[in-house]
Amino acid sequence: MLLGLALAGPAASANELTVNVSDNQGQPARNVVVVATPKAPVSAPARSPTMVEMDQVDRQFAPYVLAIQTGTRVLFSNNDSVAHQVYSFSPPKRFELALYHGKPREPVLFDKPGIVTVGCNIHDNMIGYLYITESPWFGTTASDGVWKARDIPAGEYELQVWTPLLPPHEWLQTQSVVVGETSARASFKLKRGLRPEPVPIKDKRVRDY
Amino acid sequence: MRLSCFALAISAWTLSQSALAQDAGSHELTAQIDVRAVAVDSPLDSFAEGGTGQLRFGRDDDGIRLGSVMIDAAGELIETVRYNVTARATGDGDQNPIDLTEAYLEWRPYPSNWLRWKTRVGAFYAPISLENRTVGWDSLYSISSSAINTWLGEELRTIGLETSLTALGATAGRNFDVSVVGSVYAWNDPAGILLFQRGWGIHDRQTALFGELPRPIVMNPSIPNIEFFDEVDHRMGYYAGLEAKISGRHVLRALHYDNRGDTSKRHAREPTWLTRFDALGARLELPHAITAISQYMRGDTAVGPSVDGRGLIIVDFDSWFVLLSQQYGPHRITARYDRMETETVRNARFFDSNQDADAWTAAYLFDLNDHCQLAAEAIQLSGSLRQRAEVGLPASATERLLQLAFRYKY
Repeated sequence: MLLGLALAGPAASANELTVNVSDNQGQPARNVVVVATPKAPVSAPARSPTMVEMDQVDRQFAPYVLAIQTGTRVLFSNNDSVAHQVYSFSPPKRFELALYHGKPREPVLFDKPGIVTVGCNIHDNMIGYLYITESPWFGTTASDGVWKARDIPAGEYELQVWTPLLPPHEWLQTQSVVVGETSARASFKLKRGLRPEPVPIKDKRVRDY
Repeated sequence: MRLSCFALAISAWTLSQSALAQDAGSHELTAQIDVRAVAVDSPLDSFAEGGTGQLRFGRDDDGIRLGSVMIDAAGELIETVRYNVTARATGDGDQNPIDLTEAYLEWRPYPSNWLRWKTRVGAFYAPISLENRTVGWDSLYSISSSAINTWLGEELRTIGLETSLTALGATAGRNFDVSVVGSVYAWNDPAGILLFQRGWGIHDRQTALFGELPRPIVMNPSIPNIEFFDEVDHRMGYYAGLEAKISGRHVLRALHYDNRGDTSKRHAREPTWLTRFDALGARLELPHAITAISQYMRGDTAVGPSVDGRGLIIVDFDSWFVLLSQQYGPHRITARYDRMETETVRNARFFDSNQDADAWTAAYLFDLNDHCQLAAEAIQLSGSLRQRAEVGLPASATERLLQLAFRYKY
């Protein structure tokens, strides 16, 4: 769901949309959320209830940014040896998961679009983001800065990219793209360098929460 | 009043709670033993034996020594209240073979907006050190802490209440969090006595809550040891500080400390020391897994009654260090330079506390696996300590220590 892998080959299949995101230096920008929203109604794939996972490894969320469609349930697994206490106070979804190891009791349903920041109430450095969209065409860029949507109906789309690693006034950038009968490409060049991603704490000796 | 019944009660209660707990998942128990091979090149006895040496091991201490035994329990009491209890043994004849170094409760309500509120009550370290980041408050980067943080481990413990408020940046798109912290505490009236008598030191020995040390300079065994955590003047101290955390990796800190000691008050064993200081610190995570830490501390400590209430004898102290450390997989190498000064600025004719010294520390740490660590450390501390003249020793000395530690943690 999330990834387009590898570089776009020359033999792109029908109705493929390839979006390339680079930073202000022209370097590939990874973990950037890309959403394609049709400007006129198109036949969208049937929506089925889905569940995805946001893991916790080395006292950090993995992935630390996750794009999902409204109605998705997210399981905040914990694969650390220490317990976590995940919470959000973001308006689209406020929740608190009491201290747990492994799998939480139940997943969290995200039923409103928007941006949700999650944290751990014990490990102050932990921070993760969910980008919740109504559109069925979304994902995050891979390490080559590329995101691909396959079998996307022809039509005009508004493309939006978002990353928490820019100051808020540059969070979102948009452009239009027309998907024809074959393939379409778009590229974004961010106006600034991205801030560093949140770092996992691999050293188990560390305990200055 | 000898320490706090209050701190004892909290620790007893939390220990019993953790022992009774059914859900082991929310409790973490850590035990560590640290055994050292020690080689010393020094003309001095260590302060730990009542000498004027500023390292943990002095002349005649060559051989196999116990670094420490540490037991730490942490976990949840109720959903937003956690406990943390740490006990240590250092094997050098302290009053209790094993004793508490920290014991506190922490209340962290879930943030309901961009402010996070945390409150600690009990006995714990003030948020000053940027080195002592591991379970049990050991340095992450070397065996021995810098002079500043060594002193915190020796003489400072907050026995009281601390609360902090953090403005969380993430939801507003900022990449930094800013916190203010404030505390009121008691049982820290003797703080300053060791700095006054022995100057700054460099080691890893933390004074336990009921711990004692022999008095340097005083060569009379009939005079009792120093008790560190005691309430003499029945006046609360405070500290207030600021912290900024950038991108979750860089940390900037500033803190003002004042134990508000009333120097006219005297206990049967300890007088009150009026100790105040400012502490600044920065920790930066640089490319290639290099960490840079620097801290600075400047203040004064005073003892004895005076007309102006400022104390009969006043000693200024300051210290700073720069540390560079690089991690490469399970390996870590660290180099640190420490600068240490004390100077008596009032009534040096009664007691002249004057230290002018610096130290180089090099350390190599190797994590064999999640349980075992090997650590090697070399320290050279050289400079003068004028009060050595009181016991007929030359003021200037150079102490060198090489120690190899094997640490097993479970």
